[in-house]
Amino acid sequence: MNRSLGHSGPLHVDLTDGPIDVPALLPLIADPDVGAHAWFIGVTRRTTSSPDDPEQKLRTATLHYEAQRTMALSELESLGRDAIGRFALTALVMVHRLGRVPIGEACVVVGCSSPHRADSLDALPWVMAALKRSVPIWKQESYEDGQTQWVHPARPETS
Amino acid sequence: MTVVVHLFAGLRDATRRDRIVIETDDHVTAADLIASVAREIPAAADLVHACRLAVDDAYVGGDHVVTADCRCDLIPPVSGG
Repeated sequence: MNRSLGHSGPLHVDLTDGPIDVPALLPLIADPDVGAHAWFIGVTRRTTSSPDDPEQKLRTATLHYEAQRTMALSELESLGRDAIGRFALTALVMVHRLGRVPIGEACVVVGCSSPHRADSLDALPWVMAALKRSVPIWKQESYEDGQTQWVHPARPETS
Repeated sequence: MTVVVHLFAGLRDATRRDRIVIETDDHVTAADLIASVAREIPAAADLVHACRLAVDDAYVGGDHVVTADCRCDLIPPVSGG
């Protein structure tokens, strides 16, 4: 869903069916008492290792994401509240794109701010690992040879 | 009782349906419900057993008791990001 953006407090989560407007997110973590803004932008990658043979590289033409939306939002909010407490964040933004995402475009954006840089820098990998572990969002890769495949990793992805 | 279990992503495509109706005893556990789904769609049993059950938009453990008025989602391994 696309919602108008405003400064909605320390936690902002969203699912969007179109491109993620990263500049519009920047003010959401602004605060005069922070000394660090940190951002992670996950983008769709063209080259993927074959699940059957990691040495074989597959060329992805496009990706498609779907979610159990109400649960994805509640899981994002839950892990966001956890991250704010765990890393003493002043603000946290998490936005995931759904639907078709062309190669090279942002599929997920996480931004956070804190008084000191270590907390924001530590929070980003923790948030992404938690997102990949629990938020009910799935991607389907469509390869240049016309095949498609849902990605259901046995263990959380590492990249 | 009758429980409707919603299916997603690769599980939905493998079964060509977005939900499955399970007839089961009252007060079935999440683990038993997952096992029942696996028996209903043996071709996708491996993926079913890799799933977690969510009840009313929250993950539950295997011993959670499911009731007929719950919304049940079978969540395959996730791959967001």
